[in-house]
Amino acid sequence: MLRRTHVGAALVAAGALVAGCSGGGSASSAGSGGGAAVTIKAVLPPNTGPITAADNAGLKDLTTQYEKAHKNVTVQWLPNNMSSITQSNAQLESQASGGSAPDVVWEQYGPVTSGALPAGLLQNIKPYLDKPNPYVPGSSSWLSLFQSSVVPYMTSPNGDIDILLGSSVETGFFYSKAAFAKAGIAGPPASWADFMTDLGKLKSAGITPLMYTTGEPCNPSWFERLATSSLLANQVSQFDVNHAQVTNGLDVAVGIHKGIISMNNPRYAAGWKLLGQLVGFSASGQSGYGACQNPNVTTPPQSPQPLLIQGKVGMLWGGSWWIPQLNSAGFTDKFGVFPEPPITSASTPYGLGTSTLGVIGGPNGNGQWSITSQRADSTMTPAKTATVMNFMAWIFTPPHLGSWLKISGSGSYIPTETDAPTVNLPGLSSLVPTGKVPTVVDVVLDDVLSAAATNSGMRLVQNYVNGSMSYPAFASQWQSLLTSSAQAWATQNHVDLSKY
Amino acid sequence: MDVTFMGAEPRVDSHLSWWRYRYRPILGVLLLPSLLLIGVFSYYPAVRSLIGGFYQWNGFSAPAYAGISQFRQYIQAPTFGTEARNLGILVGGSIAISLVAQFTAAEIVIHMPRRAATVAKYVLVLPIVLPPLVLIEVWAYLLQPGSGLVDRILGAVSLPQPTWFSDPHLALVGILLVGFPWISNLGFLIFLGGLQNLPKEIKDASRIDGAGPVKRVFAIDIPLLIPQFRIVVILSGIFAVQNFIPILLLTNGGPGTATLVPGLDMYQSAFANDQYGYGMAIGTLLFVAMLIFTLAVMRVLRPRTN
Repeated sequence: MLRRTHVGAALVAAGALVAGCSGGGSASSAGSGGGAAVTIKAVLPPNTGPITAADNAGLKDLTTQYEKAHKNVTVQWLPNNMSSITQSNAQLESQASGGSAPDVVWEQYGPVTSGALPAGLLQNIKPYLDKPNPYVPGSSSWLSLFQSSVVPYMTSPNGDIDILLGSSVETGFFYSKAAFAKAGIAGPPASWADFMTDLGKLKSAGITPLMYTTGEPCNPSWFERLATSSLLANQVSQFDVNHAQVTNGLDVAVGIHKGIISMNNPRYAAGWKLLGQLVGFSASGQSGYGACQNPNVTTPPQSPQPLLIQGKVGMLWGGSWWIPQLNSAGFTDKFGVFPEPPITSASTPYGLGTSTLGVIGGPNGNGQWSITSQRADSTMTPAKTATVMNFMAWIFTPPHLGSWLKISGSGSYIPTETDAPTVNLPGLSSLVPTGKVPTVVDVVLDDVLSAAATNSGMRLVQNYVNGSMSYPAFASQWQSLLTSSAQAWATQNHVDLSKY
Repeated sequence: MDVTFMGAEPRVDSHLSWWRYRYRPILGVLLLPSLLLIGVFSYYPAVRSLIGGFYQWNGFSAPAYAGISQFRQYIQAPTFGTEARNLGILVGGSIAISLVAQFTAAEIVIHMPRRAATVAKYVLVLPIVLPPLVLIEVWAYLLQPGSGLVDRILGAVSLPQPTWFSDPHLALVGILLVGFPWISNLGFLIFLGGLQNLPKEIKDASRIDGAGPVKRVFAIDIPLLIPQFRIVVILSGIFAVQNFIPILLLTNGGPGTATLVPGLDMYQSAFANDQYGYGMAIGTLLFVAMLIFTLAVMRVLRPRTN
């Protein structure tokens, strides 16, 4: 009898394990848009705190003005504690499955235009963008207010526009001026080979040259984008079937199917060999840090910025949003920044010397929003959608966009609308492309094929970078990941890859 | 129900009996909400996830029947062996830690003078109320590479400063270190309660027979506390499997797969990768594994009496 009771107890206790997998999903429901009163539920930019936080002061002012002018509309801003779009989209899909997603959600163009998000979750807002912005007298269309280089990032392969992109960010190598002076480095490198030489000089001077962070996708996905866009620049036309600014899931799946994005293609594999060389100069403990983490995060991955400030590393790979962060940490005038140098034949026989300025950055700053469909958010009737888009037109009026971005990013976010005022932050201009940006090739680490592929890829890169995995083992497993992810993408999106 | 006690005839209160009979349906109705809530929030999700493992579902589109393919996919995944090994190390480590640290602490406390023992009991038990997240944050700071307290101490005595959570060879050790000295736990209370209830006659007899403290622990205390050992082993094992929160927060299963365990894989598959069916398949396999573990422990550690 006693034993039977214990077995029963054991069953119940172990059953909790199974239960752990089936929870989730928010029970909250969006407010009704019925009648004259409309409540808009909108998600704030990530890690900016509540709407009352200093970062969101500009957005709050604009919202208050809008509510005063539209007495029937209330905007409820929801804080966004997500650090990654993968995590945020998982939550969104969970809410959407119950029809309770917010009306306006934080998105990034990668998962929206690549086909990684389930179809039907977001609304096509192009009909609204084709009409004039009601708050910009004389505008031919709202879309015409955006810089022409930004529109391709917003456009899905089928021509729909499911995302608004408010600002751009750029990336570059941040260095300690004191470390460069000690190592006898006169100025920023002109090529990737010069960059590697400088890393060697820093090491010889007793300085840890670099921290290549792998705790979250920022540095790994940046490297993948840099290397692949640069080294495959003369092969991209063979798989870029959508001819967009950034390759999407279909392009990548075709590239993998054709064997161009393949570890058996020496041109593609050369990028990962270059990463292997970089690792030799990186401080250990990479997975404990993430280049996109806020400096105030206390659990790993943490921001690597303190390592630069404390003189523990000579260089870091960061984003334009670091400039005000390093300034406010008291490091003003003690650091410099330069863009990623081009990969030439001096580094690898496959180097083409293509300029990579602007390849990693792009319209990924604050102000990236999508509008959910009625299937994902049961309150989103056509009438409510019109109200929501009217509000978005208000905050995307160029002077408004510039004013709240100036506060939100301390000047580091570059507005995507032509007439929006910008802040000339010292150091930022060197990272911003002035000419045409080459086609950006995103493959695995930026949620192009799937979140699962990104997460598995991150584990492989971590193992490769920390020395747990040799290049041949990495190459074999990376190739398996490419093949299986492309196949899974094709199945999910009902695409027959043999047609290409 | 047998209502006799020590051979005495039960005295049935006819009024009470009538009351019970009269209000039995009402008692049943009052119990119904609790049963319903447990059913909805505990049993339904568990059963639902057992079924869900047979369907591919991304959380938004319609589920598609997949048979046992997701179970096979997990077992054949390149990370399966690593996850099983990591889980084995964590379960084994947690059980060893629980048994040694908590049993030793209980033995020490039980043999302390009464007043000191009371103080020690409170001091050792109070940290149980500390929220686990705070404990994890504290250890994140303590084991921070270079600037954490542990590395600072090691550096001060000219010893190497490991990178702990980001060193593939040390990350699991770092996870096991969270909660050191591992005493403030339910296991400590279970052992303490067991030791307090050991028959005084047996302890006195062993003393008369000349058994020293060490011999008494191994010859008297441990054999008589087998039921307590059994429950602590089972609870520690289940807790080690379920509690992937320190891993999620401190290493996210990395570096690479150095700290990846099935529980975290289950969570990330479902809630990060939108592979809810696959996550549920992992959950079901974990349930089966834990059931086998529990039955095996109950079999091995069953009371043996002559």
